[in-house]
Amino acid sequence: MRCFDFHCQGESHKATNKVCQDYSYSHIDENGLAIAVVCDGHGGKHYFRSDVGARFATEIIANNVKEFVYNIDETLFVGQPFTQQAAIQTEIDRQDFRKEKPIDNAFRQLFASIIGQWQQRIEQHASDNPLTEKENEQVEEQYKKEFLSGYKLEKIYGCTLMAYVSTPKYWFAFHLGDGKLISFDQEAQWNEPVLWDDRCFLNKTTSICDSDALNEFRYTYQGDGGFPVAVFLGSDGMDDSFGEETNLVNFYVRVAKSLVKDGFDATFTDVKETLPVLSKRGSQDDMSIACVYDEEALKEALPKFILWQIAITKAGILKVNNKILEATDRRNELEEKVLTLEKDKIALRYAQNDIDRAYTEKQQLVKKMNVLLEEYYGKDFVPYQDEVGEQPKERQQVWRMDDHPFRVHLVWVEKEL
Amino acid sequence: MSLLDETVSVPRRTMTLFFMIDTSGSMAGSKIGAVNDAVVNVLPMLDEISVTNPDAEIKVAALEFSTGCNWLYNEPKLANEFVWQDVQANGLTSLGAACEELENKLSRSKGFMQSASGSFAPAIILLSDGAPTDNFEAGLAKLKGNNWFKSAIKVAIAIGDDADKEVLAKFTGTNEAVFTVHNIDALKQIIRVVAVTSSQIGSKSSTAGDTTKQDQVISEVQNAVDNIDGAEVATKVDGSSYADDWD
Repeated sequence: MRCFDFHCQGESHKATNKVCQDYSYSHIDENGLAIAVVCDGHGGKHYFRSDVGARFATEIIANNVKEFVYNIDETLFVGQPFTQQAAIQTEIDRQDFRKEKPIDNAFRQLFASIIGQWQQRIEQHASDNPLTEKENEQVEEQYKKEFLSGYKLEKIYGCTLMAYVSTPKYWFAFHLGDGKLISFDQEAQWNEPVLWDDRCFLNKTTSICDSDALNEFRYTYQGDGGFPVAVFLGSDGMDDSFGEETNLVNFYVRVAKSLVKDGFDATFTDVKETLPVLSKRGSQDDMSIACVYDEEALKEALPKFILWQIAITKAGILKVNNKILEATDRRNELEEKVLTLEKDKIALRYAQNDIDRAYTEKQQLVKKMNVLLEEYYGKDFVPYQDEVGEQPKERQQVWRMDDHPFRVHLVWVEKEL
Repeated sequence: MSLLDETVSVPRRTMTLFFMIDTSGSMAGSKIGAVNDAVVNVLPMLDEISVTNPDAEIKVAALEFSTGCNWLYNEPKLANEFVWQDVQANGLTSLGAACEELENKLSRSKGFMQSASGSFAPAIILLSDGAPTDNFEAGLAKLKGNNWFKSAIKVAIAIGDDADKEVLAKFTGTNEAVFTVHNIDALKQIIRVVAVTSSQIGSKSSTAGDTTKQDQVISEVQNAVDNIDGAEVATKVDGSSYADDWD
């Protein structure tokens, strides 16, 4: 087993001179206990010490998990199948209560301990650290008052948290708030092992600073011998950079392949260089990642990871091909008509736009496909081709509009080839 | 070697701006003409915000409602590609049906939205000069259960004194987000201000804070309204300062 973690300041935080509010941790001890943690301090003026809150949460989780694992009766876990537990609040909403085993009580104690220690630690920190000059300048008066009175103190330090823990006999993971925890199995199939909480939507999230935080933990465990090959934890700055979840998963596959091919050191260096770039290109948010993986199992699964990438790329090409065919039908149908209606002229323009855009998208996907085919089959690979093919050059056209660009007087011009 | 090679996709984030436009019979004439002109003129501004904004691209969708409702296009279009088709006014005011239709499209599986990761909350601008003639409450109740709607920036423009401001306030969730206009110029200006402000604020990265994007938009539009002759915040307690003039 190996692990790494990294967190860095986001592009928008650099621009506003705000510290990185994410924190990450990973460690494997001599007994094979692996822990990975990511905590994401909230943004916003109210949460002006959330970077400290995220660091405390990370440290407290790491310590509590070690204590939990070394003191718990491991028979609670051994033999247990893959089990996912939603937040109690979700169970209440659904009137479907499932936490009835001793193992569930054990988890509740762990989570209560994490929250309790975190609250103690932030109270101590607030008492030891009066408002700094910078805080005095930047924080609105009402939040200063709250800080000084101790009222809503936990809000000021609020953060989300997620952790993955693996021992030689079992593993578990827990999550409170947003961000994504992705696992891969031996077949290179990915999964989000901890159930999602629908209350986390856009920039709203559950948090350790919520009054009912204990009821908001979601968790998963397994003790029947099944283990993930690799697990990646990422703050919401990561998943917001990739949009669709398969894009995020694809990035983790890219990292996993690098771990096998380029080795740990080179990959970790790449991760450290890539995340700030990703923040700039993507979410602008702070970025954190933590990973635990099985080196040997990952190596064995490598071809399947490439095949997975080939499969999703193929699916993307098929989807784009359908767009091309559908838009071409629309265009051909309109071109057969004498277009007198404004609406038809617009529809023709959109059909051609859709075709152009779809072919451009296809070009990128085919390029990606050929890289992957070469990676899988070697230099003798057969480049990707299909019946839809490339855009006929004589049909490559762009629209130029007359002097009223957002109304409907349109002119065709030939694209320079 | 970068991990962001040609096998990895990092798409731009998206914010969708929805126009919900009352095209009932009472809008006929100068009102609908002003709406058509104002939206056409604001599209290039939205495009500029989209192009110069590193955080997100802006897409536009438009739903007209009269007797029933109709999307101008069956998907949101990029601001620079949106070709406005002048809308015509006639019929009743099916705002309830429009709410239901908006609810249908504020979803990923069957609608206009993408994954929440990588999206910003939408901005919704409702324009109306009257009162609903269908079951508005039922439509709104359905819409209010929608997560995208809950997170959206919602602003309403009441066109003239006959607009039911109470209904518009129910839609936006606060009467502070309802702005009344009393003449053509004010209508054109307020459409521009609301669309541009919503797009600027809505398409910027922000983290969970205490001031919502809707509050930021309301605050900026309220400031702008002070300088628009014939426009006012609908909550004005001492009565309207203006008389309607739509000729």
